[in-house]
Amino acid sequence: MTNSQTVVAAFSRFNPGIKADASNISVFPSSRRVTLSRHSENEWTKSLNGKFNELTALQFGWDGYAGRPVSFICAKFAANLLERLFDEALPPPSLVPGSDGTLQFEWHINQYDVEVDVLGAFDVVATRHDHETGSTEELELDTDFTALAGWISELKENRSTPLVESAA
Amino acid sequence: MSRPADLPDYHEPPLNELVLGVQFDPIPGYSTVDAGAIWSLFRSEFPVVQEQPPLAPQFETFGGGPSPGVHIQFGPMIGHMRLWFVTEQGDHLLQFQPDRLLLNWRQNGEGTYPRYEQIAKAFQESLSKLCNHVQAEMGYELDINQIEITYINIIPVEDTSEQSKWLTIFPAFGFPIEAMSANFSEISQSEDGKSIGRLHHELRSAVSIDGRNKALQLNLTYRGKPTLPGIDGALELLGKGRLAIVKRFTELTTNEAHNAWKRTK
Repeated sequence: MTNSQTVVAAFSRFNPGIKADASNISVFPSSRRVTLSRHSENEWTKSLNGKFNELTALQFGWDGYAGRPVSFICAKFAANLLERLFDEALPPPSLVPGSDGTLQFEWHINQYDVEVDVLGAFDVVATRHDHETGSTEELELDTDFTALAGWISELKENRSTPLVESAA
Repeated sequence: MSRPADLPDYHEPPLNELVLGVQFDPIPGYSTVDAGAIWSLFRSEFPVVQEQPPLAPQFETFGGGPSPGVHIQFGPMIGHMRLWFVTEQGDHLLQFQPDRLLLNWRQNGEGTYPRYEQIAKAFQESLSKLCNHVQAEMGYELDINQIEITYINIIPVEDTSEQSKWLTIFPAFGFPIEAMSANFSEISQSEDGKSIGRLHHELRSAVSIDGRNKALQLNLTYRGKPTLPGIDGALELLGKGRLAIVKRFTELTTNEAHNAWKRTK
């Protein structure tokens, strides 16, 4: 039994309906995983702290029309989500403000475009376009971001084409 | 609202404070001017008012994983002050800010624990008053996005090293413990396996201000997004959180502790 299985089993003994969260226990990486380069936690937070500050402080009309600053709720929810999605093998995402106070974060890596629209607390639409296959998928998410975490993980995978950052 | 028949019960639980709360999308257009009208809804029962710094929004989400070293911070959070509406006796406290409403029962040395059912009923009434007021006066329907229920237990001890006498999760260490602190969380799932909430455990040793009295403080907090809409949905998940907390509390504490607290079920 692995260490994580031992921990989960220990808690499951109390009540099988309540499942221990063993996600903070290290597991061996998938053999398909390719680390592009390491991006430290500090690199993420330093980059994103500044960007979040900038976007929540945008002036009204920043887009030349009626653009609003990113709402604190959208920003806070996006930040919390990014903390859970952090992966040292990936660079921090780009943050893009919506004119209506919403926020999008995105990666364009490994022939994938992953764009995550945070429309409000527990109101997220994620889109992934695969340049290799031409397919596009969409997820509407509120509390469970397991599928999105899977997409993030696949940004690192070895694909048939060389690993290059695609033009956004 | 009746107590589940098979739920563990204690005649003298070490419960020091119980908090029921909801978080909702910020009331659009809310300004400081509206605070007086909000207080007037509850003033007859909660005549004392205090101001506190606002609580930051919290979100229980699932998938990905906790990354302890990653903390994205920005701000400062621009928001209205949190208002405390307090009873004359000081044992009940209603907390309001434009995106939160919480009701606290506090053990202040007088009176006995009124039990969850009575506190939940009072919270439901307060939440209904607020919802009706915001709808009627501001033309907005509160959109509840998370519930929160916290049991704060204070277990007096002669020495911090007594933890194994009270708690099943820590063995006797065999050497004196000056202080202790532990945090862990677990995901709560519905019957169909969907993640619906998170139960946070917080344990720490505590000392009274004069240094004479020691205790173990065990906080159990359950948070989650209701799956059903409105007040009924919030109360439904609060009830589930309460069940999870009481059952887990019983499992985390020893039979000797249960005897001391006069367990009746």
